[in-house]
Amino acid sequence: MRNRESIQNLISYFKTTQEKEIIFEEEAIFAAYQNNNESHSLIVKIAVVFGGILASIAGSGLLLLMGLYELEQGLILVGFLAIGVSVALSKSYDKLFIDTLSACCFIVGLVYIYLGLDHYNLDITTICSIFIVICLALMMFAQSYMLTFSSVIVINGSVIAVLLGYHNLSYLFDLYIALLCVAITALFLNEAKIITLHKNLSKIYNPVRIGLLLSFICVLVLLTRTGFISIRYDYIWAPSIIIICATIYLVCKLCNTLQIYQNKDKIIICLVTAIVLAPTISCPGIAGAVLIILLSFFVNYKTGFGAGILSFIYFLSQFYYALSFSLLTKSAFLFSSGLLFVAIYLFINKKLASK
Amino acid sequence: MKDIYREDIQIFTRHSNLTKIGAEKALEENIYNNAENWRKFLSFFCLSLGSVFMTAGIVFFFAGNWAELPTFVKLGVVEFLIIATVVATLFVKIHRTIRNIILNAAAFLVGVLFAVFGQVYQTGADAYDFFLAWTIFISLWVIISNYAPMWLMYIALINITFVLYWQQVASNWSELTVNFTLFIFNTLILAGAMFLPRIRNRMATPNWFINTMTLVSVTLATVLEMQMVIFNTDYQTSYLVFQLTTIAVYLIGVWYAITSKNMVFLAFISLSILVLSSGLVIRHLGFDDFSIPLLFIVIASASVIAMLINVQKKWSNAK
Repeated sequence: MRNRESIQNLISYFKTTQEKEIIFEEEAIFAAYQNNNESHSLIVKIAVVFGGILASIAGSGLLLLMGLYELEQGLILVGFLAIGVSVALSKSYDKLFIDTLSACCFIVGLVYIYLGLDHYNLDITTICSIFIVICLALMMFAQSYMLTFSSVIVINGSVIAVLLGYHNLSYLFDLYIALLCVAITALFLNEAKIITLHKNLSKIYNPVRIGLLLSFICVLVLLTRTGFISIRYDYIWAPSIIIICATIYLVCKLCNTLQIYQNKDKIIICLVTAIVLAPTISCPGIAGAVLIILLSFFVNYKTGFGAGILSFIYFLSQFYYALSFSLLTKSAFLFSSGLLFVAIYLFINKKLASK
Repeated sequence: MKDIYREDIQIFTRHSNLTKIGAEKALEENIYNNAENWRKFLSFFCLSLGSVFMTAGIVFFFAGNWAELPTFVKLGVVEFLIIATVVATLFVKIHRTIRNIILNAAAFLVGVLFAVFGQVYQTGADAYDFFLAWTIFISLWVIISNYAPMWLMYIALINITFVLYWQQVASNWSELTVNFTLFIFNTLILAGAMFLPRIRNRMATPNWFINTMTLVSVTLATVLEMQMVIFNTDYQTSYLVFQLTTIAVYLIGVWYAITSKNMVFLAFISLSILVLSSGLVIRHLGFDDFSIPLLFIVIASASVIAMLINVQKKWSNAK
């Protein structure tokens, strides 16, 4: 927690960041730091989420055992009530524990609504659309971390369920991956613009970022695991191309950070990136993981970086099972990419040494 | 200015008219990686990717078992690569981390060599002696390089060799004995990783290594206890030894967590106890009426979470 002096130092620093005169709501800033006295380590956050999930599964089981399952209206009513409680909880207390509890309440509420609606034999699209509307409303009204994060994950799950629920919609799955890729790239690279656009956007920025990132990894996993879901693999190259384009765009931005301003150099760097990533065209997971690693390093986002490394290892091991190539072709792809990377490494080191 | 975090910038955007330009400048100056960090990262990233892709390429190549390739060439290629990587580690003037990455690739290639050997002479790729030989032949490198990722690979290999030996040779050992041995072995490694560098005044073991080993140890203990207390019906005297040892290790773990304010230990052990106690309640009370165990799980989970949050608050205030 920051004391008054350090907050004053921050205020004077921020005054130097822009030419336009800056007006601070000092009391609101002090109050924000007073309320924000909880900084938990990752392990406590994971333990809290794990415990919260365990508690909510047990809690919902308990209610079902009490005979709630028999009453369809009762289920829907309790579901909405649970969501209401979750919003009220997150609005009144800004604490990790309460926030997790409210997110668990929200998930339990959605499960009840699903069970209730199931009695009326509604199709999956209608149920998922109801979920998406509820989640969007929640993201607008309650800007707490866990609720927003859960909402993003539920929206993603609902979209996947709709797209895969109908076989004739499965080609849209590729489009959805491409959309997620564009959304994540835009979200990471326009952080300053988004958080200054509106107070609420600044509040939900972090949970939306991690939610979208996990959703992106999740759809890539679904796409990579052949036989896991029934989708057509004719257009598997389409999301890869978008991912590769996003990576090239990122590399262009990176050139500015690295003070490379000559167009000729930029074009060569982009071409090399395209060549290195070209073999991953039938395996969007690997390209996606590389994009996540680079984006996360670009904005110095450690959780994203860790998730990127883990997913990279996973997708590389899944590449072994990709059916479109023989092992020998895959081996040639990997070995030549490896050689190329070592060549780039030597080139970078030579450049550095010459400087 | 020093010590500005992303959270500070976000709080200020909410309570001032900070513009996009101001926020961007603050992010770039304090949060985002600068050109120097990028150069270091890109160099490390390219070399790591290069060595991972090349090693994976070699593994895929031999997994393909190309029949037209003569045995001599198959074995020769891998042996040549091992020699080349080791020579590079020894004689090329490079940074220590890079040297270790290359040696790690060499250690991996030793596994590939044995796999190719197994493929040629039809011994099977999962024979325990193949993993044993792999473990033995990289031991020296692991000790000399003292590189955490290599140690992790080495420990994984020892665990795999032991499990395969049990499955293929010593099938009369009970599953509990095997799990208990693995638990003790991994816990000793964890203790060694934590205390040996202090005794010998060496550089401390990286946190990620200690956390991974803690997770492995606690998971093994949880599985072991679950097998003994929850799923097993006929009780044997050897269980007493297993149980007392596990309890003693947990007590030492909790004592260490409290004295050194180690949140990871405390969190892992509490979650393990939560899972075990829930299992126990389900076993003894759950068959007639499931509502009591469910109620127990709700209360126990909430208490564990509240306890962890309180302890962390206390410790971070004390620091």
